[in-house]
Amino acid sequence: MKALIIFRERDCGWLREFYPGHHPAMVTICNKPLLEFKLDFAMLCGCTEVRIVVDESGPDIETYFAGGERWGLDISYSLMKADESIDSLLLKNSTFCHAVPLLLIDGFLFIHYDKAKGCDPLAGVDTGLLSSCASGTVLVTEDIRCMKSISDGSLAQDFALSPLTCLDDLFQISLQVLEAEQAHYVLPGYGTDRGILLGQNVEISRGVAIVPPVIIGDNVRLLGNAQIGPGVVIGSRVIIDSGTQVKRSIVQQGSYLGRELFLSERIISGDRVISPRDGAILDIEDGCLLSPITPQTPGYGGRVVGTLLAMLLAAVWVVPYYLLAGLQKIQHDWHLEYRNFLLTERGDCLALPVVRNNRHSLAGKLFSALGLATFPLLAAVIRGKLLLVGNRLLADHRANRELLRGFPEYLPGAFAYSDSEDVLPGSMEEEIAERYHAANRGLGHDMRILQKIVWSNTSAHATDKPAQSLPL
Amino acid sequence: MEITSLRKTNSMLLSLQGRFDAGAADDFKEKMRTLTAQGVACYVIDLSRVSYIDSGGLGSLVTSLRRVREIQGDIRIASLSDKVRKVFELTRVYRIFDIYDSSESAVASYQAEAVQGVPLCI
Repeated sequence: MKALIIFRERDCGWLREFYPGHHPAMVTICNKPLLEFKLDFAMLCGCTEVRIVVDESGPDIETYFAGGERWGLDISYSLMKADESIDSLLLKNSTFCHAVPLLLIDGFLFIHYDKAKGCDPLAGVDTGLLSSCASGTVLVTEDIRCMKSISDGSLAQDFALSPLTCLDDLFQISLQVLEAEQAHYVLPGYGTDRGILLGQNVEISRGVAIVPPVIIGDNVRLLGNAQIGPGVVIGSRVIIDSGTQVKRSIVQQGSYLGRELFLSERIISGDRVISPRDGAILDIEDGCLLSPITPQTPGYGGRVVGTLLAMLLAAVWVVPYYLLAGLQKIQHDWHLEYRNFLLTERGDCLALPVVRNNRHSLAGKLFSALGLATFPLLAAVIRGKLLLVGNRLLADHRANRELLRGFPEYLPGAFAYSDSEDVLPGSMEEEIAERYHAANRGLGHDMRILQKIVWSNTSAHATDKPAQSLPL
Repeated sequence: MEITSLRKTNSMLLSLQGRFDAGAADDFKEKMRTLTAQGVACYVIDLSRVSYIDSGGLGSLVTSLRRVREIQGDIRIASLSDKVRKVFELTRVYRIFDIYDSSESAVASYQAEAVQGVPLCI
């Protein structure tokens, strides 16, 4: 048997606000990704091959599940357009689905099952069965060609579906699994006592009280007199400081909880307190109360080289820049203004100088041909605020903020990646170039791009692209 | 990069082999331009033997798609290797192309549309 597991953005997109930077399929229930529960269920049904289909990019899914070796499964991945019909999906994956029993899980839902009971959804049926809930469907068929004859009905009592349509659904299911169904699933951690699961490298200081049921992830520190539980899920890389009480709550990975706090019926994510009932988010600015814990990542070595190159370029360009700028100023053809540009997907901004000049005058042509409009940006590169080579600077407005929400690799530079390619500004090709190079960025790669831009002189500043230099 | 074309019922199957980079993109665009000028509008591009694709290659696919859509045609992609699929995912090109797991199913999709009466330009 094979399994086709489908995630549609229209069903699960609501979760992105609460779970930024991750595909909703990777949201955890009792420290285990939702998708992993589905894989376990597929294995229980006898599947050996699984294909995961998404309509919104999810590189973290593939990083975590890879080829499925850890689960003894053969996992493959496929992409689809938004709102693809089941028929169309089956046709597009016909080599995978052809002439074998198929388990199809379509939608954002949780499947309740019991690993001890097993599951044979096709037992005693000829063509197949279908089970639905508000946010999805589970379909089992001997052959996809028989799909039309499958009627909606209740599957065997082996499993039940719960829709995931809001944060409260997710919260309640997490507590349900923790409090009533812990033994039904394979959950991460080892049990020291009934109802308590501990991850690796958990430090429990003297005086800490743990009241089951509680699940604790890896690399967690619980400091003196903290009271954890009942009904608490703590993710990995979490510190709970002394005297803090946590009850019926979820503390997501990478969170620090300060001293003497009391939390009940809440989700804690970094410096955010989320009320699952109404989805209200409270951002805590005081790092002594709540703060995110992020693992240290190696720095981008290219910044140092970029800074040195920016200094070199600044030294070369300083004379022609001021000479030509002065000349254009006299002709009233030159103006420097500051505009806000987005620096990160989170919406951090920086005011940067933008040159507006007449490019048709002789001085303007020379100014553009030498790429001098980049010169004012070099100061930001030297200050470490901007990369020398990076993504195109995007002005701070709503459409660009929306665009960056789905572009976590975005890091702007004085020279834009797409300037190295012959693409139209604002076109799909430009977006492809920006995303492609951002995903492949590195010192060598960026230097090649810089060389290409300088060599071909296709800099945005020499064309009409909406970049740092704009025509008057 | 090698481009092999094979006329199928209701569509043209183009099999690409080798590195689909900015250099090969010009050859691909030229091939598409020639075929489109001959009135071919429905294409299946088999990428199973493409070992490498960059933004130039993807850009040429998008440019060609835009051109064939002007004559109510389509380009459907078939048999992505893992490496190429990751690039499609990173650059989000999958949002505009229909991607099939084999060229047979992509060709069959045109045939199915023809049976259903969807007009095809070839």
